[in-house]
Amino acid sequence: MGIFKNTYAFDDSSILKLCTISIRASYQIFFPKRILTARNYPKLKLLIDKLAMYGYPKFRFVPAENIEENIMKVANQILEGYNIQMLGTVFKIEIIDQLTDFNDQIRKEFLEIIKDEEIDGIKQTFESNLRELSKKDNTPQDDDLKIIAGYYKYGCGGNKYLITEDEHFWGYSDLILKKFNIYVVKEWECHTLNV
Amino acid sequence: MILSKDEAICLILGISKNREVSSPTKLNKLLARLNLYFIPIDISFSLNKFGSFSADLSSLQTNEYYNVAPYNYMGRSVNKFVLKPKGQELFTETIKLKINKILTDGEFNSLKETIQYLSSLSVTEISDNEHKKLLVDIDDRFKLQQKINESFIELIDIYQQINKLPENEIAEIRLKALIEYCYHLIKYLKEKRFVHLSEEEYDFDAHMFDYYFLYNISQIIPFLNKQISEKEKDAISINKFYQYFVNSVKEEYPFSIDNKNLKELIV
Repeated sequence: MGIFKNTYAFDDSSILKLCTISIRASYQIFFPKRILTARNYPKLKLLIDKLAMYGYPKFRFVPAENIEENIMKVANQILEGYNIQMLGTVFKIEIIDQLTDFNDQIRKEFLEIIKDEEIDGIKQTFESNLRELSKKDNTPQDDDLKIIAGYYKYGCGGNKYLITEDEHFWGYSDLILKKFNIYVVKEWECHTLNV
Repeated sequence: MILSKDEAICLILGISKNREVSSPTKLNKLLARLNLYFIPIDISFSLNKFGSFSADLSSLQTNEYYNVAPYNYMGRSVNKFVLKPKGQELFTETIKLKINKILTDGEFNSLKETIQYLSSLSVTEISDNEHKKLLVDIDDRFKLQQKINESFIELIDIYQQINKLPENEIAEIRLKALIEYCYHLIKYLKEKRFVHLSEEEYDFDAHMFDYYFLYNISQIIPFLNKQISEKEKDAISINKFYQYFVNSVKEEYPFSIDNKNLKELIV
């Protein structure tokens, strides 16, 4: 797989944010448009379009063990700031179901990087460089470490980019670059990447 | 999740004896019965004096999935419906996969047995059986009102508990959504739909979903009560009930999230 110069990999939440939610008729009165997207959708879409234009494949990490959690997280983010005055939980499930269907379809469009289970060494690196994050937990979760371990082992001729919104990655971006040679790209800045 | 008209027909034919149904009226009755199994189908039913009736099914013609074949029955020509190989393929590769998401193997077998049993009855017998269950007859009007009142009161109790439910898993959120939807739906049926129903007149041309929904809500009340306190949620059943109530009806039914004026019915 080393034929591509650079590798662009997205965490699951960022991939889910590429979904456009169709708003069913009864709920359209609560929104200015008939579709609803995540805040960073336009930026992510711009990057995805750029990759497509230059023939770069896009990557995701497997297995996706926390997909249900990520779907709920993205649904909550999409709903933030809206006041649905009728059947609000039903609307949340509508979003969750559309994200679930989207995930089933979109995953075929991404090439896969296998997460690595051997994370003891990586865990130590983070523990000895612990930082104060705004998140409750300052240390990246095991699943985050499996992503770094898998991406680190993944063979690539050029740079490796990881597009994510998770502070567990961008909060340690310099360390991750120095130790594992991975550029962490904050999701809300991903449109500025030169492909 | 919803089965298209052709998928619903192929489901009925696929589980019927010899993969065929002997008349359009019987096919109509058997398709209507899917509602009592909480299977959302894209076919709308109204009520006439023989029970559920769908105008969508009156002009079915042979297509790639099934044959409409005329035969002679007591001196008159009747159409029967026979599943074709392509319909069998649709049954195995698409319909069964959709059904597996909402029915357990046991429930699917029960559906199959019911459909095969009903196929052996006359159309009138199927209608009688349906009328009895759904309380559509004038003689059952008192029972119908009783059922609405009972179901509404029970739903009020359940609805008052939803704020206590956590939202850590999709099944928990879906259970909340299901309760929220059923509470407002039964309130609509009680306060708007059935409130003017006379004691003497048959409810001609009613939307059959009024009756299906009332019957089905009353059926799931014990389940909802149990699930509220259950630590491990029954995600498949919760999804089945949710898909049925929310997706069975489109904009032509007033209480539908596809009706742009739904808010007026809720507020």
